Amino acid sequence: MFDWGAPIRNLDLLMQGLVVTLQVATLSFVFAFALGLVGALARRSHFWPLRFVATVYVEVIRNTPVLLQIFVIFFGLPSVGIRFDAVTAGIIALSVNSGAYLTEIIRAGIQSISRGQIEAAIALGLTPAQIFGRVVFPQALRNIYPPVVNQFIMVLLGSSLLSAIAVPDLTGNALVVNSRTYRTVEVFTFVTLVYAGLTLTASGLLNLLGRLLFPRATAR
Amino acid sequence: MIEMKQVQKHFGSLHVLKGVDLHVRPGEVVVIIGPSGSGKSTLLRTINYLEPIEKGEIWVDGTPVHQHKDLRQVRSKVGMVFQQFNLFPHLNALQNVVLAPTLVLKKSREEADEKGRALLTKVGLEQKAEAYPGQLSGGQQQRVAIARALAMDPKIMLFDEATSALDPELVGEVLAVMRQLASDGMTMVVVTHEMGFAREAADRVVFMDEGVIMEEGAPDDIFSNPQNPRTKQFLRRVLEK
Ligand SMILES: Nc1ncnc2c1ncn2[C@@H]1O[C@H](COP(=O)(O)OP(=O)(O)O)[C@@H](O)[C@H]1O
Ligand SMILES: [Mg+2]
Repeated sequence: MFDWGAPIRNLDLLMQGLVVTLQVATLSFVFAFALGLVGALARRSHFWPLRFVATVYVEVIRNTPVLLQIFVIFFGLPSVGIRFDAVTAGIIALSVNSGAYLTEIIRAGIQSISRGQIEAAIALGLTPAQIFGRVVFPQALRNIYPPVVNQFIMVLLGSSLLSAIAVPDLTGNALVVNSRTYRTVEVFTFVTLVYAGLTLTASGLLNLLGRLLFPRATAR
Repeated sequence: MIEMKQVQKHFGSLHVLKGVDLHVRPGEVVVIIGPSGSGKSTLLRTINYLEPIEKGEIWVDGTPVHQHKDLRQVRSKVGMVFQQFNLFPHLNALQNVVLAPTLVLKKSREEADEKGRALLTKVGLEQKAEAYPGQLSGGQQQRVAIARALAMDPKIMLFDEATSALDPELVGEVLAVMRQLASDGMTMVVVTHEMGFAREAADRVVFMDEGVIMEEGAPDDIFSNPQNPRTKQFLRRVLEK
C-alpha cells in the first residue's frame, strides 16, 4: 500500500532541492547577520532617527507573518518597478526577516558587556572601532552564540516557505515529486526526515564550532 | 606631571567635585584617602577623562585634558587599574597585556610578546601567560591588569581601590607589586583604604571629603598629627579597625 520507492526514484530532484535549501539558508543567514549587526548598532546609536528607523524595522518584521513578507517582496515590489527572480526575492525576504530577530539578539549581546570592560579599553587608548571589534563584539558573540545558532536553524526551516513563490528548494521540489507520483505521505514523510537530519547535523556542527571558538576557560 | 585646578563636577544635582586643586610631580606617589562617596574615584577618573568635568583645568604631561585634546594619546600614557580588574575574559593573560601595545602603539607581535612576558615575569606570573582571567585568582588577575597597564609604558599609573575586591590573603601580593612600582620611580596616584601602604609608600597623602581636599601632607604628618577635625575623625575610624 505504501510505495517508499517514490521519493527514492526521485532522489536526484530532491537532492537538488536540498542543495538550493542549503544555499538559500546560508546566504540569507549571512546577510541577516550583517543586517542584525547594523540594526543593533543603529538601535544603540546616539542619533535618534537611526534608532527610530531600526525600531520600526524590528517591530514591523516581528509583528507580521513571514509568508506575507515573502509575498510583498516577490509580488508587491514589481508593482513599483523592482523585480527579482524567485530565489533572489526569497533570499532577501529571509534576510530581512531574520535580520530583525538578529538585531534584537545582537543588541542584547552588546548590552551584556559591562561598562568596566569598555572603560578598561578606553583607558588603554583604544579607538571606538577597536573597542567594539576587539573587546565588545567577541564577548557579545560568545554570550549570544546559542540564540544565533537557533536563528540559523529558523532560517533553514523557514526557507521551506519559499516554495510558495516556486523556489526549487527541498520543499518546492517535493511538491513537484508529489504532483508527479501522487505519493503524498511517502514523499512528505521522507522530506520531513531530511529536514530533521539537516537541522540536527547543523546544530551539532555549530555547537562544536562554538566549543572551539569559545573555550570554557574564556567564560566570565 | 598632573596639574588640576579648581576642578568641578556634578552628577545631576549631586556636586561631587567642588573645586579640587591637585599637583603631582614626576615620580611622586600620591595616595588619596577619605570616606566612601567623597569623590575619590571620580577625581581619579577625571585625570584620563573617563569622567568629563564642567569647570576647571586638568593638565597631564603638558596636555590640556579639559579641552578634550589628544585624549587618546593622553590615555595611552596614563595606566589605570580598577577595583574590579576589568581584564578581558576572552583573552589570556598575555593577550590582555599585548592588546593595546599592538593596536595603539603599533608594536610588532614579537616585540609586544617579548615585553609582555617580561612584564608578567615582573608581576610574578610568567607561568600564567596562557591562562585566561577566569582561571586566575583575584590577586593574579589584578597583577595581570597592572602588567597590562604597564605594557603601554605609561608615565603615570592610577589605582582605584586596586585591592578592595580581593580576599584579605591576596591583598599583599598586589600591594607588593605597587610598592615595587613606587620604588622604581613611577608617578602614581593611588586611591586606597590600605593605610599601611599609604604610610610606607606615599610621598604625599591627600584626605578628601565631600568633594574637596580637606588636608594633605607627608604621611607622617597626616597620620601622626592630622590638623583637620574631619581627618582626625576619619583616621580614628579606619585605624581602630
Ligand atoms: N556615574 C555616576 N552617576 C551618578 N552618581 C555617581 C556616579 N558615579 C559616582 N556617583 C556618586 O558620586 C559620589 C562620589 O562617588 P565616588 O567618586 O565613586 O566616591 P568614592 O570613590 O570616594 O567612594 C557618590 O555619591 C556616588 O554615588
Ligand atoms: Mg571609589
